[in-house]
Amino acid sequence: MKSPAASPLVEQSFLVPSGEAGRGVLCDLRRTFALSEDGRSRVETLYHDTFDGRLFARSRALRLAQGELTLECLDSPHEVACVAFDGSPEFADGLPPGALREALRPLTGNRALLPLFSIRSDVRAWCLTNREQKTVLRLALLDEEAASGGRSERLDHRVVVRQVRGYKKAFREVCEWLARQGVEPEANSRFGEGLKALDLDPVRMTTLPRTPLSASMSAADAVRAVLHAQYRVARANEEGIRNDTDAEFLHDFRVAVRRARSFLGQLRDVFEPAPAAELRKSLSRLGRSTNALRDLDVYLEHRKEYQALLSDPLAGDLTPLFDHGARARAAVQREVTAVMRSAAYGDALERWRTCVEEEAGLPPGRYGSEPLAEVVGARVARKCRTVLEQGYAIPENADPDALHSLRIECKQLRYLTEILAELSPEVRGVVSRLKKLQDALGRIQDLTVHEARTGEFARALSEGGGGAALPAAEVLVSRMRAERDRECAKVRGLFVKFSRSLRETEPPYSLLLPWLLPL
Amino acid sequence: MAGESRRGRVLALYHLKGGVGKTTAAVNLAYLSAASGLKTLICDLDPQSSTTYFFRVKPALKHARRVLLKGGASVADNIKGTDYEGLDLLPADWSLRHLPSLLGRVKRSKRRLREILDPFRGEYDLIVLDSPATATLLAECIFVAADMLLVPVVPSTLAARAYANLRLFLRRKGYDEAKVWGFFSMVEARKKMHQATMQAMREQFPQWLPATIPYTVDVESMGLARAPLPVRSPRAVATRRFRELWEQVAGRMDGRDPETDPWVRSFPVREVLE
Repeated sequence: MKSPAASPLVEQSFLVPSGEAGRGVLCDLRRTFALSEDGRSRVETLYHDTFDGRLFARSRALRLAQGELTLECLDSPHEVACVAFDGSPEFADGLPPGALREALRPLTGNRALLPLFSIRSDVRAWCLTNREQKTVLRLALLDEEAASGGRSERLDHRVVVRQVRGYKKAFREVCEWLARQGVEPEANSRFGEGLKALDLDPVRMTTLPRTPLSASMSAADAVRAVLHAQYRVARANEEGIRNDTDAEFLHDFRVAVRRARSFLGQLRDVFEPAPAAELRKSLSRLGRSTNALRDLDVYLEHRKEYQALLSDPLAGDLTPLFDHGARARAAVQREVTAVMRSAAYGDALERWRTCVEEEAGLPPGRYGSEPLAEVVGARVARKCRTVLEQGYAIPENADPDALHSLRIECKQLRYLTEILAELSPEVRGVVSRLKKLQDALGRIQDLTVHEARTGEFARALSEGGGGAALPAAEVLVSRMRAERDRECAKVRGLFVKFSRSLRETEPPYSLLLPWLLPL
Repeated sequence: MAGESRRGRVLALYHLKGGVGKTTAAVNLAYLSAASGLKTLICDLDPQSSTTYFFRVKPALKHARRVLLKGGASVADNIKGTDYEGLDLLPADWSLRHLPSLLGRVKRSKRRLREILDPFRGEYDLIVLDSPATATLLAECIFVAADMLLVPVVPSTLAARAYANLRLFLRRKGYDEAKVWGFFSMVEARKKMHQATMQAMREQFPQWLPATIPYTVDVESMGLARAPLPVRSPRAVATRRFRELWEQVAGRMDGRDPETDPWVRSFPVREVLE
C-alpha cells in the first residue's frame, strides 16, 4: 500500500520590525483577518552544548523547553530526536534510552552538557476561524529575550504562522499578506539569533589560533598564536576542573599545557632560550600537579570495561576496589583545587599570559623570523625520522616500556603535524594514522598504569580488612596483562600503516623516503 | 503509550446498537488522549458524520472512493486539524454509506481497514475509530483493525441483549475477545433497573472498565456546544467520569497488569455464552 505523504508541521516565522511600524502591521493583520485572541503564555527555552561546542560544530542544537529535550539540526531545520525530560541534562549517557541518547552519544562523547543560553518567550496566541467558528489557522506573537551569564538581549519580534492541517488556503493568504506588507520571513534559526544577539561562539575553546596560520608567517608570531590558543583553552577549563563537573575539563587543560610545553621544547630557538625554558619549566609543573587526578579519572572511566573482563561473582567483588579508587580521587581532586587557588599556580598562569600576549615576555630567538613552514617542516622531518627509527625497531613481542618512549615521540610528532596540517590539508591523513597508532600506544600505557594501580588499591583494602577484593584484583591484573599483550601485538601493524601513509603524502614527508623501509 | 519509535494503537468505539454514546465517548476520549500529549487521530466512519459535526469540520471527503479502497495519500489529504493541539480528524460524509458494499468487492476485505490505517500508526500515537451501529462487513473490519474494542453499554434490557449478541458473535467468529472491553454509558444512578442490570451484566460478562458515564445534561448539550466535554464543562461530573474512563483505557492499552493496576478491574472469562 502506498504510504501517506508525511505531514510535517507547516509553519513560517516572520520578523516584525520593531517600533511603531511593526505595531501597525500587527494591528492591520488582526483587523484584516478578524483574528481572535487564543491565550497567553511564557515559554523558557534553554540551549545546551558541551563546553567546546561539539554540537554546534556539527550543526546541532540541544534545547530544553516545556518538559521536552530536543536535538535539532541547524543546517536543514528539523528535529532529529526528542524525549520527555525533567531537570537538567548532564551527560548523554544519563538521558533516557532512545533515539535522542543514541544521536547525542557520538556527538558529545563523555563531555558534560552545559547550559549555553536561554530564550524567554512571551507568547500571545491568535487564531483565525471560519464561518463554523472552526480554527483554520494559528498565529503566535513572540516577544523574546536571550540571556546568558547574567547578560540579556532582546530579540526581534516574531510572528509564527502555523497551518492547521487541511486548511492550506488560510495559511497561504496570511503569509502572502504579510509579505505584501514588507515583513520578511525569518532566515536564521532562533538558536542563531540568540547566539548573534549575545555574541556567543559555542566553539570558543578551539585549540587552534583565532588567526589562521600561513606558511609565510614568521615562526615566532605563529607559534606565539598557537601558544595563546592553548592558554585560552587552559583558562576556559579551569572552572570546570574546580567544580568537578566533567573529567574532560582536566583532560583538555592538560592537553593544552602539554601542547604548549611540547612546542616550546620542539621548536627551540624560535624564542629566546632562557624565557622559553622558564615557561616550559613552569608548564611542566602545572602538568605534574594534575597527573594523579588524571590517572584516577582514566582508571575510574574504565570501571565498567574492567568489570566486564571478569565474570560474576568476581566482577561484583571489584566494587570495593573501585569505590576505594573513587574516594582516593575525591581526595586528590581537593588537592588539585587547593593547588589551583595557590599563589604559585596564579604566577604560572600569569607567566604564560605574559609570554603569549607581550612580545617582551617571550622575545623571538634565532629562528623567530624564519617562515613557519620551514621551521616546523624541518622539525617534523627530524621528529618523523626518530619515530620511524623507533618504530622499525619494534620487535614482534614489543616491551611496553620501549613502546612508552615511542608513544611520547608520536605525541610530539602529532602536535607538530597538526600545525603543518593547518598549512597543507593533505597532511591530515598522516595525522589520523598517527592518532590511531597513538591511541593503541595510549591504551597499552593505560593498562600498564592501571595494572599497578589495581594492585596498589587491593593491597590498601586488604590492609584495612577488606581482603575480599584481593582474589578478584589478581584475576583482573592477569586479564589486563593479557589485554595489554594483545594490544602490543597490534602496534607493529598500525605502525606499518602509518609509515605507508607517509609515502603517500606530499613534502615534507617525501623528504623522509630514504628512511621509509619497504614494509 | 507515546514512544520515540511511534507505533500507534487503534481504539474502536463500537456497538451494533445505536444511541448508546459511541460518538460522545469517541470525541471525549480522543480529546483527552491529545490533551495528555498523545498525537491522536479520530476517524469518523459513520455516514451520519456526528463526530465531524462535533469538531466543526465540513462533512466532505475528497475522492471518497479512493480513500475507502486505496488509503495512503488520499486518506492523508482528507485529514483535518481540529481546534485542539495534537488532535486530527478524518471526517465522514454521506458517501460512507457505501463503505460496507465497497469493502465486499475487495480482496482480503476484513483486513482492509487495518491496512489503510497501518501507515498512520507511524504518525499518530492513538487512532480512535468512531464506528456506526452496524453488523456488516465494516464491523468485522473494525474488529480486525482495533487493538482495543470499547463497547458502550446502556444498562437496559435491549442493550444488554445486543451486547450478549455481540459477544456471542465475536466468540463464534473466533475474534480475540481479550481486546473487547465494555463500559456503562448513559447511566441513571437513581434507576434501580440500571443498577440491577449493571450488576447482572458484570457478573455475566468479563472485562468491564469500572468508569460509568452518567446520563446528564452536559453530555446532551455537547451537540449544541460542538466541543468536547472537558473544554465546554471541565468541572462537570460527566467530564470527571470521562477522565476516569480515559485513564482506564490508556492503562489497558499500555498493557498494565490488571492484577496490580487499581484502575483496571478484570474478570475471569466465563463460559456464559455457550
